[in-house]
Amino acid sequence: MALALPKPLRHILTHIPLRWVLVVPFVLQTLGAVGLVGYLSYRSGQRSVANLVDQLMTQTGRRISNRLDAYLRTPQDVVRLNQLEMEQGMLEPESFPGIEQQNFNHVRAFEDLISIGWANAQGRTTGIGRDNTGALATAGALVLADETTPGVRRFYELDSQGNRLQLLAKTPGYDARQRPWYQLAVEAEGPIWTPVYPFVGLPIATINFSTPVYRNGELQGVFTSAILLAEIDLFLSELNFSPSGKAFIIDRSGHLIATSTQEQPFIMAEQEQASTQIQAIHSEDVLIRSTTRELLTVWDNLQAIQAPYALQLKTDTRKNFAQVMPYQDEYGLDWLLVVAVPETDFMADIYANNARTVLLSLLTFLATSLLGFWTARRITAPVLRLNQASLALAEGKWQQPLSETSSIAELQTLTISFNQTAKQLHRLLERAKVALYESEDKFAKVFRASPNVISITSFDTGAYLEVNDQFLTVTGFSRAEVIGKTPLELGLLPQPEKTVDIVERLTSGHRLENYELVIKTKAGEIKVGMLSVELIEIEGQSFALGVFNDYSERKQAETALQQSEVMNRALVRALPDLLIRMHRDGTYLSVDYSDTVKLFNAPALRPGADIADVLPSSLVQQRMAYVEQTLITGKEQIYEYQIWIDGIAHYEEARIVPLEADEVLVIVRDISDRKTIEEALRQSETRFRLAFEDAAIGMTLVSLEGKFVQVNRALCDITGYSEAELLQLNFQQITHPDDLNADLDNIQQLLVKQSRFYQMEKRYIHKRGHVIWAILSASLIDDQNGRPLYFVSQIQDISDRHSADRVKNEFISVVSHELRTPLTGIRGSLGLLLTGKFDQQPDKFHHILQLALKNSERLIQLINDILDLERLESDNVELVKETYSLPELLYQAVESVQILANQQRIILQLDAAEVTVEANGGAIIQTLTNLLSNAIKFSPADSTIQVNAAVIQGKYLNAEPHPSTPCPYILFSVADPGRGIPAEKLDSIFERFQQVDASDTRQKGGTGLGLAICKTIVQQHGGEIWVESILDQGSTFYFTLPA
Amino acid sequence: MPKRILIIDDEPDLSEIVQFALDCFTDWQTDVACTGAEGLKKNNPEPFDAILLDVSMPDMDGLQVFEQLRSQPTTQSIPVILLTAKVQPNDRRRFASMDIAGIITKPFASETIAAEIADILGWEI
Repeated sequence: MALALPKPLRHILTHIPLRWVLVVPFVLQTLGAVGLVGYLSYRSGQRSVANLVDQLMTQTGRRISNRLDAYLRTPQDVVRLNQLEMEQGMLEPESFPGIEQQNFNHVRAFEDLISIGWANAQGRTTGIGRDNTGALATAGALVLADETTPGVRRFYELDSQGNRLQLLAKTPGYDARQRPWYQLAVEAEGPIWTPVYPFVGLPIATINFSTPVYRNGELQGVFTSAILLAEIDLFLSELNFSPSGKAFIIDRSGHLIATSTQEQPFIMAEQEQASTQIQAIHSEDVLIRSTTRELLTVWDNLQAIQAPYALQLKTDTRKNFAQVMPYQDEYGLDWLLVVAVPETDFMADIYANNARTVLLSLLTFLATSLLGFWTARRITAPVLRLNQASLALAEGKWQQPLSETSSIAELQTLTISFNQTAKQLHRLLERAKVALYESEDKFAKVFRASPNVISITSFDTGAYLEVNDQFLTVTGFSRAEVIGKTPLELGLLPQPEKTVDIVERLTSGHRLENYELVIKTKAGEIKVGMLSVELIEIEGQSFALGVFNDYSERKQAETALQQSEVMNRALVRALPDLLIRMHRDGTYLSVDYSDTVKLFNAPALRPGADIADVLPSSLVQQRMAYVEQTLITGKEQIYEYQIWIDGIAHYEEARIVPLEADEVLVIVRDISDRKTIEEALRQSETRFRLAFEDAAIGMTLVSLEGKFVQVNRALCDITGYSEAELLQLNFQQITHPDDLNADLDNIQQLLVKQSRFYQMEKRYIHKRGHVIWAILSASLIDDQNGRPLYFVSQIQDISDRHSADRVKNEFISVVSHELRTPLTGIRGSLGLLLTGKFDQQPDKFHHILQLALKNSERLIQLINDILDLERLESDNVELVKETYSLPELLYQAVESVQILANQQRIILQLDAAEVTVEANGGAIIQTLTNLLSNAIKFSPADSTIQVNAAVIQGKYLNAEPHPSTPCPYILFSVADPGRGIPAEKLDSIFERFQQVDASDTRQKGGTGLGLAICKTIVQQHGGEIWVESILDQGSTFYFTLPA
Repeated sequence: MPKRILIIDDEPDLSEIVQFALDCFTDWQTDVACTGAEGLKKNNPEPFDAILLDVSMPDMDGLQVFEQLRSQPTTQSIPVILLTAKVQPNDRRRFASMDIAGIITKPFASETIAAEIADILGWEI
């Protein structure tokens, strides 16, 4: 939805000057960018400082901590060393010279060591210290404090060898056992740091590291070493980590221990006991005060600080950073190291920078804004010039071209384009003016040259102002006679009353169209025509522009046409066609037909009818499409269709001829008779063609030269050639050479009319090269005049029959031979016996009798096998199948050959899946028995034959060839360790009378039909049989049955 | 010197019967070969005087043996009598075109076969 704005605002928003559009966003962007960059740089500076301060303070804290470690280490080590030496007896509690020497050595050795002293249990003491402040001797000298004589304490300066140089002072003795360093050590019974206390009589704060020495559980005394806190102050003041930063150490009660300002941690009094330790919150330094106060505010109790802690605080208006770090050891030292730094130490530069940044940003902003204003001016000035020039051009004021020099390429291009456009407009205007003149000139020419009669008259007076040449030609007047006269004055109108009518009509309607008018020429001739008049107003006056269309001649032509129409109509009546003149939109303009024409929907068939009311809709669409096609192409269109007239199917042919731009002539003719004949012919042709095409035997039309003219599918199948290939050949090329002459002879007989057809058995050569046996029946077709046209041949493939015959003959031959062989044995044996020659030789007699018997058995077996095989192969015999247990089948088969196996001491090993099988039990047992007998015959004695039957669910991978029996199936196998079968015989042994070795029949018995019977049985069960064998190792016969 | 005659037949029973018959009725020396190859070998170095040759034999049949015999100078003139169960007309036609001494069809009469062979060969019994 558009937002409704108040009008003034809308005006402002929709009339923004280009200059502001350019400048304002530019200035705003610059302001934003400069501001953002400045702010980000300031923030980043702050963050860096915070990080830096943090690191600095952490480092400073660590340095202090390290320094303290080192500083406090030395007294601890020295005191502990002395303790150990004394406990081990290397030092004696009473042997003060030895202890003094030891102490001197330590002080010499460790520069950090301020003092070391010993007080025994009797209160006698000796100690050596550095007089760093120069309180007693020269600054830095070593001073010995000796109180080995009770009640007197003597101070000596020592030389570099430890010899006493001079007595510096003598003071009343003080009982070391009353000192805190002695008492605290004894109380603790071990090493300990004392609290801070002022040095006796000196404005020096110290702490001591003390340890008691025991021998056999008895206190011998205390070793102690003092350190000066002023030393720590000095170190802290030298850290110099920041111009005005402070480092200080406080204990957990908030007392100052050391400061970088080297502030005295005690307020000294005359009496040592009255000296008070200063609280950090009362420090002279404001930063130390504030920091400690802030710590106390945050923590309440300083005891609670157990880890480094950073904080920020304000003093007056300044911001400070601070960090506190606990410092503890095992001997009771428990301090807090504090580092505090004012922010100004780091931020001063950044603040100075901030001012510079703001100044630079402002300058940048000013400069870019000025640049923006300048750029906007540069851009807008030419645009404004263009704008003004366009406005001027729109108002029709043509100016000189604009200056095309501009530093901005686009504006220059724009100016050039504008100048060109303006120039073109100017040129177009000039051309339009010329065109107007030419148009006027043309009109005048048209007026003059028009074949129509044209006049211009004054509407008020009716007088002619101008007439054209045709006017003069038609009326016969000269221009001089006409101009200034009225039609009535010229006698041009034989019906004067028409003038009034015309004027009335013009007055009411301003124009008159196709008004039929009769005029009389100067010569008195009457002419008829149509008058059209238009009233024109020119500068306040009315004129009538009249156009008279003389059609006297056309009238005559129409008459002639009418006579011609009569002729045409007569012609139409004589034709057997329906003629319709039709408009593009389907309107019938005229309809003509003779009485003989059978009409569809005759009552509707009249001029003015719409095609949709005459014809069924499907035919309407069809016809309109053809009409359109005719009108588009301008060419005649012909089509046929079926239409039911009075319940009878008629075929009509429509011929559509273009007439006018939107008119066609439709000529409809009934072609039912022709169609009927055509259809009958087509059906007949189809029948014959199908009979030819689909005939089961090969059929062909062959030219007189022998070329195949037409061939059917069967012939292609028989010869192996495609139709296209056969049509390129002649029959001679595919006829067997041995049969060609006989065929040609037969053809000759046909050609000389000695026979009408011939039939012969002949051979063709298949495309692949093998011989096809066929019966050829051929006849010759003549034309009406008895001249030969072509041969019709039928070719029947009888190769199968031939092949079957051959197989049968071969079989008979083989069977004859096989039967005769045992018969010869029987006949020969009996013949010999009958001679009586062996009557006296019982052994030979018996032997010959055995021969006869053996051959008789063989003959019987042979006959049985042949009959079995024939019976099995006869298509009439259906095997009766029943359900058998697989192990049972195998068992029965094995049982029937068991005796045979026993004779050879052959073991039959049986393994059958516990499943049932649908089969003819007898036949399967016979198969197994055959295979087993063979296996036994060819296996050596004492061997084992394996008989298996298993269900194979998936593809049987080990057997070759893979059986094509669908899974699952039952796989039987009989494996023998016999001599094996040569590879070339693996297939043929399943053929009849095919044995691995011909002598097998004689040596091993058998008819040569056993495996052929097995194969037949297995195949009839839908299974397969094959053998795998390795020579000299054994054979395995397999067969399958569908499971 | 008695006549030597070789019987080549893959059926040992039949060879045996023929041998019995010839031994009974003649003084010819008989020998037996079970295959064509063996038969050819037995004619070397000393060819037989006549050969009774079975036609249907595996590997090398009687006709091949006959061709081999005819191709060797030492054996090409040995009279050969075919001893065959092949009695089909086309078989007979084939045999007729061969240069053989005679044909004895199986089954033969063992009691008269010796006389028949002697007759064909023109030998004395």
